[in-house]
Amino acid sequence: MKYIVFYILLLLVTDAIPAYCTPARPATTAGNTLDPGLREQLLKIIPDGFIPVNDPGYALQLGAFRLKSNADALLKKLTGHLKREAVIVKEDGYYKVRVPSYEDKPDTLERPPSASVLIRSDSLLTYSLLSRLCIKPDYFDSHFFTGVLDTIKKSAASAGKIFFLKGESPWLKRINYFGKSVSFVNVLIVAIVTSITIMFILLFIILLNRNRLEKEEKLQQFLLEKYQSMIIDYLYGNTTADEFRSIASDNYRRQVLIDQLIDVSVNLKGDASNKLLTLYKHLGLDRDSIARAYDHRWHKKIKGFRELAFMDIKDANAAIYKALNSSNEILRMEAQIALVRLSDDNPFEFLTHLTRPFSLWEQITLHELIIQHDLPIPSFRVWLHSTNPTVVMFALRMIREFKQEESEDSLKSVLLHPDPAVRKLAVQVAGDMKMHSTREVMRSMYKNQEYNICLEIIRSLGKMPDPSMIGFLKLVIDKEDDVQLQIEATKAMENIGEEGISALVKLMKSEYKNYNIIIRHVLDRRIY
Amino acid sequence: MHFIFANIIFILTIILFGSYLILGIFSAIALRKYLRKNSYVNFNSLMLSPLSPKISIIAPAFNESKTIIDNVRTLLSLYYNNFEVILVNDGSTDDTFEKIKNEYELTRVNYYFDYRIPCERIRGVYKSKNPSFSRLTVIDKNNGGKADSLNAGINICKSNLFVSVDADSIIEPDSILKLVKPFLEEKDRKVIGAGGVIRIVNSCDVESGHIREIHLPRQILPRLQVLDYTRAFLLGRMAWSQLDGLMLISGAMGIFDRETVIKAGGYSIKTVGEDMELVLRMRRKMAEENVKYEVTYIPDPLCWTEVPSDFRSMRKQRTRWTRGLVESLRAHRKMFFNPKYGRLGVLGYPYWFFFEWLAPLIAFSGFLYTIYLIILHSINWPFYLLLFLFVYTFAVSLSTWAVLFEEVTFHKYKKKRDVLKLFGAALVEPFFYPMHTYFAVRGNIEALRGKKGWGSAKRSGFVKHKKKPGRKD
Repeated sequence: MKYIVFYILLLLVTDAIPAYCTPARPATTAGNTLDPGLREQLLKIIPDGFIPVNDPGYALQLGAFRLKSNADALLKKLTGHLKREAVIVKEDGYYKVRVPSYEDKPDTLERPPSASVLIRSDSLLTYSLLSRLCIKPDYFDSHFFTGVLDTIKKSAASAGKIFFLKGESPWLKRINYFGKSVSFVNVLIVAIVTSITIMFILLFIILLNRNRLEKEEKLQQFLLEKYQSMIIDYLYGNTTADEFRSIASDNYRRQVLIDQLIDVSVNLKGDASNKLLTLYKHLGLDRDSIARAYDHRWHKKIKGFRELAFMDIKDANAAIYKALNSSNEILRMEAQIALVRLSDDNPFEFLTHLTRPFSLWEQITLHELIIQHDLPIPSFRVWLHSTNPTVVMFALRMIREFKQEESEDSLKSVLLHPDPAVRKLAVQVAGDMKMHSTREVMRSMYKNQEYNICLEIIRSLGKMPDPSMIGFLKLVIDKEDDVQLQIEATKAMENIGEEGISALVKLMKSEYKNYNIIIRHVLDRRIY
Repeated sequence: MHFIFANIIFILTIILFGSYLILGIFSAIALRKYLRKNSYVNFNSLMLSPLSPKISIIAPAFNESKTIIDNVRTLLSLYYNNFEVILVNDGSTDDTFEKIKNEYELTRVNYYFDYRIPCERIRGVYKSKNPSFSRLTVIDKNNGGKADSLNAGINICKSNLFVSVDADSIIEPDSILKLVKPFLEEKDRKVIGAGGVIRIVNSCDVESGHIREIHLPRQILPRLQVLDYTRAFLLGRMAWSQLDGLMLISGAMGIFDRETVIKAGGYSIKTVGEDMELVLRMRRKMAEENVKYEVTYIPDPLCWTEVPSDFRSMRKQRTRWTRGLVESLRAHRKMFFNPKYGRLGVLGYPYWFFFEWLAPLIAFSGFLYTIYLIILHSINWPFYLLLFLFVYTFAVSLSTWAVLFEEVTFHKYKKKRDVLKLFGAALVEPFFYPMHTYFAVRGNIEALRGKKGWGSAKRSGFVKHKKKPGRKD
């Protein structure tokens, strides 16, 4: 299909060219004494706007160059073609290639308006010659001019073998892009044809993709319904494992069957679940999953890990362990999830060996897994002393979520953790869990902490109201300039109860600072 | 003169086309990677988790009376468990504020407003008497523009991350889940902002602030903008994100690290391109402080916005964008080819300078030169036609490429007919380029004259879903 389109376009482009090949205005050739046949040939190839000059005494200039090497190159090229000797003349800063065997009158030689002519190819020689034919016919002999014409024809013919357009085309009129007009125009044509081809191929792919998706969707829906009813019938009816054999012979259908087995097994326990596992193994689907777990492509691995975790098959644990410290975050996470599900005695052991950062995203996923699958919850304080700060943070979060109050002593030491993010979270968790013994540590560490930790300390103190903190909180309100710190400190005082409120009332009367606006803000229950 | 037009412009065009191709390739790689990774992500665990970070959604509103109730409802019903909505009424002159106040039973609270980032005077902070709307906070302030309103919202928000949205946009319910994810991934670089794909809502069926049925815009200008947006978001920004040269997070929706924004000084009120200017300033500050950072991009449709459907509104929008671009580039000219700012300085900024700002101006001078050649009868029509065909076919194939990206990624337009319609739009789109060039030139002139302000945009409001006889709902 694409080739047909390409050829049609090619024909259109090449057919269109001759229509433009006739010059709009014929070249003026009055008084020309050339042989009529030669004249006719000249008229055909001389582009519009270039006029042969009839004055006697002119040499034939074939090119002018800024660089002598270019002039030498042209001279060399012409040597084989011309019967007369060509020479290089330096004039006006240019190296001019001329055939001086006639009466040489460089002073009267007409030069083209643009003196910087770069000739670098045969095809361009054609153009250059044509655009600079400022000659008096008397000084030519037919042999010489035929030689030049031969050169033109040869170069144009060689260009025509490669390109759509030839050097004498009026499409090239007045165009001299980088000295390669023929190449340039032809590159444009190739680019146009390529663009059009790509355009139609893409459109074709899009429409094909639509059809494919629609068909796949229908097939998948059909297979899902069919397999689901077969699985149910297998579990509670008469279908035998061997009836699945025909399905298991096709890769696509095997995959749909695995997915369906997993979907059904999610809601099953006990005998029914075991029966499904037996079917899975009986059909050899476990081998597929294991092979995927060892695949070099990460997305295949993930699929394998998931299937094995769901079906509780431990045969590929080595591959899963290997993926634990992978640089691919998704693969790492899936390995963690699979290990937690496949481990019998210590599902969180991997935390001890985790050297890579344990991202909040992974933490959220693992927490979700614990809840969803009702996994045994370990004492997370074990990991409060991990060398991996992100593991410590996970432990802190889990201590809070599962209310492991026995971790209070261990947590106290984490308040002074070198990592500020860990310190901040430890303060937050201590406050949320109302670990009263941490208050003094917080108060003493306050002055050395960065702003966010200070704010968290005041918030935590507010969660663990204690009248002995009133003095400290008053100090914060008085000395701190930050509004948020003042608000949190005021709120903490208000939480203390009567003693705190009476202290606030006193503050409201103070002339040292206008506390009213802050206190009114804190007392407005609608704000929080 | 001839040399300039014949050579320099041509070289620029070739570089531009080449850069489109390179960006397309980078984008394809990044999209494939993203889609594959995301196919294994379960966003539900984030939605339900008590560990999810708190997010503040800031929505400035100015004379949005027509759509404000529905849009606030959409914001309040987003899929996320730990968020607040801060609506900033930027001194609306219509009944936007009254409508919100009545609908959500607002009452003024004694809020101690901390002007951490300077903004216009706050008239009052409002909360709902109804506990069901406890997530909503409304700020009523003097008019100061969108940037000023966002600054007011940043001052009041209580979370480390905030999402800026246009109140007149329709947000995808799961957009926050997707936006917040890059901030939860452990990286060696701090994520300071993230943006996503903005889609066009014109002609879609909208009911109560939610999109019920997606349609391709029926009018030509919005339909052309579908292509424009697809190219910009799926080809351009995706690739720039991959190249670490992203300069723009769309003002329609983006998420930012609050502390970084505050340290950078908040949104600039001196420009109408505050979204681009903020990203540039944040990136500049991080680079100058030698902090490793990242601005990420999520190639997922996050929100739907109504685009101008008439020439006048489009002219206003596009000239404003050009002004914003000029102002932002001018303000951060220090970054131009400056390796200190990494790939943004060496690649991103120069790209925007040459191909987003300068290219339309060069194109305009090209038009003038063409007219000059026509008048002098010096034009080589066959060659002119050839050049035109070259540019035209390249542009159409690039748009078709963008349609393919849309097809393999989100596949939002379900009907086969829609693909053909989009392709048809791609065929006529290049004939509208002179219009865009005109907008760009006009925007530059306005920027030179120092014009400020947004101007008013005509909104037709979203298409309400209506039951049609014989149609299944």
